Amino acid sequence: MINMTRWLFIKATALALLAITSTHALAEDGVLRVGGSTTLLPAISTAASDFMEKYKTWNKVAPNLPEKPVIIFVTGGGSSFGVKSVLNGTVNIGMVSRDLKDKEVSSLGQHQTYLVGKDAVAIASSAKNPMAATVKQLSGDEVVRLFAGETAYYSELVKKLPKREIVLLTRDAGAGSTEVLQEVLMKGKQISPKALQLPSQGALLQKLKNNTLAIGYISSGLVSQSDGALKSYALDGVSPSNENVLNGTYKLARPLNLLVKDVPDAYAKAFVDYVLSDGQAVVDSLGYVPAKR
Amino acid sequence: MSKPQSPPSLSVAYLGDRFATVLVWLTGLLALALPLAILGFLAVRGMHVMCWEFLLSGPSGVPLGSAGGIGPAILGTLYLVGMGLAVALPLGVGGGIYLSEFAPCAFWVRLLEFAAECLGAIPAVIYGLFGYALLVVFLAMNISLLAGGLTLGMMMFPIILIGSRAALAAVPSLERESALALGVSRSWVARRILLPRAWPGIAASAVLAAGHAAGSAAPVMFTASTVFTVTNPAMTTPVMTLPTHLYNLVSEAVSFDHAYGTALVLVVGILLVNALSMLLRRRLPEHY
Amino acid sequence: MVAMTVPAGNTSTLLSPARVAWRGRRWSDLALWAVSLGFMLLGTGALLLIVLYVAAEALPALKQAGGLKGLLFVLPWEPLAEPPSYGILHAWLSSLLVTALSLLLAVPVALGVAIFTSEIAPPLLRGLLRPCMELLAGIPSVVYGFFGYVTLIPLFENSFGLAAGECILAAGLILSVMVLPFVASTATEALRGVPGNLRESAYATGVTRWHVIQHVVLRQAAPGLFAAIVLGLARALGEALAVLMLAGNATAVPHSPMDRGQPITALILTELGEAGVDSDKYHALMAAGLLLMVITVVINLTVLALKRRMLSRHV
Repeated sequence: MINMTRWLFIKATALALLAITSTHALAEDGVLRVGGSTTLLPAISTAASDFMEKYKTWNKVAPNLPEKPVIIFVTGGGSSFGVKSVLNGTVNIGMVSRDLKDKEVSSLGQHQTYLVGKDAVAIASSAKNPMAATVKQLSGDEVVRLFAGETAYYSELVKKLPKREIVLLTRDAGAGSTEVLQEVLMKGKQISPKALQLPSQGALLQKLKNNTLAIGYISSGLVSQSDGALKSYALDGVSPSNENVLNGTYKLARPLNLLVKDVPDAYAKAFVDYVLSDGQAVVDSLGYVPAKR
Repeated sequence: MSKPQSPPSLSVAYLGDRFATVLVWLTGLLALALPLAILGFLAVRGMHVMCWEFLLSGPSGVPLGSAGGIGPAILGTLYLVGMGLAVALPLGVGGGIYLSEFAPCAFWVRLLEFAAECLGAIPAVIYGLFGYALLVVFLAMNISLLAGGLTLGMMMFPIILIGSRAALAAVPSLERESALALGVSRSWVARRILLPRAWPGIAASAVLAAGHAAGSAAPVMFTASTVFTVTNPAMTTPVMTLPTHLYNLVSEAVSFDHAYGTALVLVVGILLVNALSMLLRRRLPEHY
Repeated sequence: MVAMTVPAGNTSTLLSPARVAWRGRRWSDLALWAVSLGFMLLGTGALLLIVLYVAAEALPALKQAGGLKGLLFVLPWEPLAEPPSYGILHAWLSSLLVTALSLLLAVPVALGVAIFTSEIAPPLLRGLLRPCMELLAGIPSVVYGFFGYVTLIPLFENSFGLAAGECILAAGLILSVMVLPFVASTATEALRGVPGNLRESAYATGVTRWHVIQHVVLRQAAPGLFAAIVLGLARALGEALAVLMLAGNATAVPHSPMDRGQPITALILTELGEAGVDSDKYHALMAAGLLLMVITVVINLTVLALKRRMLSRHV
């Protein structure tokens, strides 16, 4: 009868749906979740991908670990998201591209931070920007006025430049770079609300490359990797190079940390150790200062 | 409707009529051209990335996503929508059966339907907000297929409820009443008469809801999605999804070629799903 | 029509079907009743939970902002200030601007399409228009955002010399395309609902077709047309990804369409990640979400009421 076939079809579809959604025998054991700073995101995702390629199962990483496949999920969201997620327990390892705030330290309680590299927050623009040819450095005050929105046109910054509108690019409030800029340079002054907020370092890079009138603050590693498409400006005479980050003369230097709550479990520790050893090559290749130097 | 005769003279009304008709024709043609233009644009820019490797393999290259494919994203979306349907279908069809068979009076039916339609108006981003706060953090489900699937299920429920209610109510009462008059139970009527007649309508609304959910990034962004994964989806792991993958490719400027490809896959997929829904709806009159 | 009548299955006016099943010891019926009622309540209950939860979590924001006025009108959105302030003025104003702009662009075109479909188009085009509108309606928000990102933003920056292409205008333009099919289809329904004899009698007096459309058809269909506009409003308010990618994501209060803005949906998507649950920012985001939800639900209620009135006029 026609009705019977239709009923069978319904039953089959239901079974298929259930089959699709059935739980695989995959426990949380052996699954690492890493999340946070978008500055660290490319480095850590590549390191994670390499780690998963090199050791297919955890018992190859260390003999006392079970034979479970190595699975690492890496996501962005900003440094503050990383800290909050470690607090909430939604990630095992947080990526934080700034120092922890006092409030965060007290909420976290016992925790471990691992320095995987250092980075400079560079004031940068496209190489085709009106001021790229003539301006080599900006003073701290100029930068503060710029990002507070008080300097609206290029002609106000340097007299000879055309009267074109300055487009400010920022990361959103949860980013490590924003916090560093705010704490070290801006202090009490707020970043202009007219600035375009971009969701990640990658988006910032893309926008800076495409828009010749834009100025923003971006990780110096990305500037050095941009093959000349971007130009960074010295801050108070100090250029955002890796040497200046190491010897401490560049003001907007920041640590790139991995954050773990309490004591890291064996899986997290293994991955962190990898990032601190073989993974440093990745950090270096992306333009940051490796931790060991 | 017979075509009206236009007045012979060059009166103002005649000119006005002509002018307005031209305007309206222009908007009509614009409406025809817009979707084709958008689709064509995506197809032209995205066609060259299409190949089996793109559809089946995972993202690779540096930065991640500029090479390889979107296989895990397609899989993730399918799993999420499947899970959402597994939640929303029983709830929706059950609710529809209640509303059309067992509701004690018209007042209750109207009230409940009203409530469902109001609640169905909630924007998708609110489901994401709620899903993150309650499911991911408070119930500690973490960002996972489970949390995302439940969120999508809640989003699909009103559509399926209203659709199945309409489909069930559209079955002529003659069939119901003659069966009941012969003494069979209501569950027999529901099973053997109503559902077989109404299933195209129910399936159409389910498919529509699925298409809508598949394309929504807002509910899954904070409840289920991750940037990169190599494993098969499981209940407790996050998944890549097509809409969030597209958003990542664009906002991180990883690869615009792949972005076009992803957009094309997403749009074509949803179009096929909508076409299926339309086909199903067309099958309804057969049974009368 | 079906929505207006007593449910077809309810043949008994004295006893509910559940009562009958109980009396007659029809266990299968009772089981079905229990299961279907349970599912109904579970589903509707979950949705109600969403509303209540968001409302509950939004209340602390009122206290920390010093009242509704502070939250909505006075405080700026400055999460990094000392002390941080979380006012959502810029968000709802941006939502309003973007939505108004999109409706301004979409409604005339949608009206034209509706008139075209119901009065003027030859059957071939009429048959083509329906799938075209469904196609437009089916494209997801993120694809529209992507489309605008690769077409409008470079256009604005290169051809119009804008410093940055992202602005409320860009978001409004794309949003108008997204909203068009919904407004057009509801308006078409409204126009189709006008009884044929009204039209015919108008034509019989010898006036032009446009005169009939303008003075008879549109006037009759007015509640339905209003419902269509309001429906478009609700859809535009709820869009998230497209405006996130196109409106510029700036926390300043926008003053013109060329400014950058951050509608409520974009605010939530941007800031939710770093708002720890139970923090002040989280409560502020919940408040913004509650505002959005309330407005959207109220608008949809209006649409429902108008649609019922539209139907009742012609039954």
